Amino acid sequence: MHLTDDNIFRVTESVWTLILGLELQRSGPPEPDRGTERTLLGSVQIAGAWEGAGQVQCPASLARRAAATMFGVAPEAVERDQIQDALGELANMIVGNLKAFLPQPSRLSLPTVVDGVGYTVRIPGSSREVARVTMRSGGEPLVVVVHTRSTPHRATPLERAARS
Amino acid sequence: MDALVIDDSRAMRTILGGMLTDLGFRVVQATDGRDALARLAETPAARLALVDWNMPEMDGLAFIRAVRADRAYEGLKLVVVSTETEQAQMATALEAGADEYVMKPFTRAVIAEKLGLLGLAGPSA
Amino acid sequence: MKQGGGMSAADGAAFREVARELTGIALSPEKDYFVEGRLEAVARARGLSLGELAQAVRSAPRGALAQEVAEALLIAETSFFRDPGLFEVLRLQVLPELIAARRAERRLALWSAACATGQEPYSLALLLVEHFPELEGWDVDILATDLSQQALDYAASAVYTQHEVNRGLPARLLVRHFEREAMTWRPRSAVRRLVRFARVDLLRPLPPLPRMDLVLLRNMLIYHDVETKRGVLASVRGRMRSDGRLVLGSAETTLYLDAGFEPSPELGVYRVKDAPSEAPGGGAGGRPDAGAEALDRGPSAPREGVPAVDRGAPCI
Ligand SMILES: C[S@@+](CC[C@H](N)C(=O)[O-])C[C@H]1O[C@@H](n2cnc3c(N)ncnc32)[C@H](O)[C@@H]1O
Repeated sequence: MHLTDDNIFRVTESVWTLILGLELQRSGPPEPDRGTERTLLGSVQIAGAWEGAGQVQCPASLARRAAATMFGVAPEAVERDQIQDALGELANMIVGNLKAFLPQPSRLSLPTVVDGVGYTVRIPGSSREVARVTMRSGGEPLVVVVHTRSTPHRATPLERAARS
Repeated sequence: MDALVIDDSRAMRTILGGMLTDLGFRVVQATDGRDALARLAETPAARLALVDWNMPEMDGLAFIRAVRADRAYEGLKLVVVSTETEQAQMATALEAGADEYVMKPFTRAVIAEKLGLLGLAGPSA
Repeated sequence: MKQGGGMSAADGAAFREVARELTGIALSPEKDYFVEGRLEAVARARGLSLGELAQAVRSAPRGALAQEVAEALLIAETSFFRDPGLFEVLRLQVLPELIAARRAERRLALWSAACATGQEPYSLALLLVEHFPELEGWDVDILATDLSQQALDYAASAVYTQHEVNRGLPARLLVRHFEREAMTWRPRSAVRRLVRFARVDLLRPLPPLPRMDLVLLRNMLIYHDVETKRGVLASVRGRMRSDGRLVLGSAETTLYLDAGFEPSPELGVYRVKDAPSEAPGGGAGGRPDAGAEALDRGPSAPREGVPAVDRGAPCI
């Protein structure tokens, strides 16, 4: 079994429904960012038999709603660092569960969160996007992206066998 | 009954802490393994610790090993709550002395049922 | 405009409301995700989407379709080692006693009589494999039956979601006795092969069965009225060994319903008091029914045979 858009959706949905109790649907690509909206991006690296990263991206308003549920407070009452923390943990759970569809063993990094307007993100090293799934929760977009790191030196099957 | 919730995410500590409070525990929070060892020293009567795996400073596995090396905490039940769900990793945690393992994401029922397995249905249950 | 999976929160609420109306059981929204597959099957059988199914049950909350939806939702209400205290009693008291009593025969017949999606019979199997190595070489048979074919198919496939194995299953057993396939988990064949499945409606005359040493009849009677409960208890008792044990759900009792059972000191466990009267070859003897075939696992009986019982209306 490997990483398909369907698997990514199911994993994200299980986190979204079990932890947040919010509904989630597949959708087409979001309208292009006008570069004015505050967006959060939570990122978790995977290292081991598979190397890459998973990212979870959504507008600050959706991240705020998610944080409100996790902290059990009203959305207006949520502070900025709480929103970042919440998205980091959601990314940790989503990417952590995606790992089940990738070659093992591998380990997760701690999540990092970028929060701002019109930024671009670079993954360290050269990398290639292998999946991008767009969903909607309460009308707002949620995007999960998976990158694989194309390392300059590719291990041969023999080397890989020797390592494990 | 005292319980520790050890996770670097404040959101996760809030969720787990809330569930344990509802079950009747007095909850002490810690942000990583090292912090947790310090809190534990101040809370010797703690019966339960829910511990994340991936944390800065000292991770959950190192925390479990440290606790299990100390006779003073023999009665402490350790439950890993983590997104690391590889079977080999679970086995490692259990061998190191964890009593139970919860895979994230989880629900209230999952936590309550795991505590039931450990005979810690909750002081108020 | 919904593709693939994904039940909306509103649809989920409509389904739960219908189930509450019909059965009085309030389900929590966190179940939505796990009943979705079963509801999708109900919808697909009628050529509907989940949204259309929700629409249909909203407009006819007492119709046949609503019944079917309610059934699908209630099936989901089970977990591995549900009520762990009871499984401790089985491990420490009931099973050791039964095993001691059967030492000469080296044969043990267990029955999970409303097994839903299989967590209950597999919990029994896990208990035996993990804690009773002395059963190696015995003829151990766990028969798991239910009214719902949908549930039985799921149980026989034995493919469980991460959430299902997160619930109530000791992690040690998960690590030792399950195989992981991406996000799903499956008991290893050493566990699976102890359990066989068949469709049995407990409200109808039972097919031939082995004489049971232990029957788990949990959280099925609660959906029925007193007369129905009496009938089910009497017919189950007719399939039990004279020193057999019956286990009910934590909110259920045989008291005032069937004088043929008496509570044993362990909570939730009952002993047969009067020797079964109806079935031939039963009673104090304890040999399996001579004429039993369909579900009696004789040397030549098919292991996964489905009895020729015709499908009754869902009884929830
Ligand atoms: C809530 S589940 C109980 C599962 C398991 N015994 C437990 O306690 O976790 C109830 C089950 O009873 C089954 N059931 C309802 N009426 C039945 C009948 N007349 N004959 C057999 N099974 C029936 C349902 O299909 C459902 O799977």
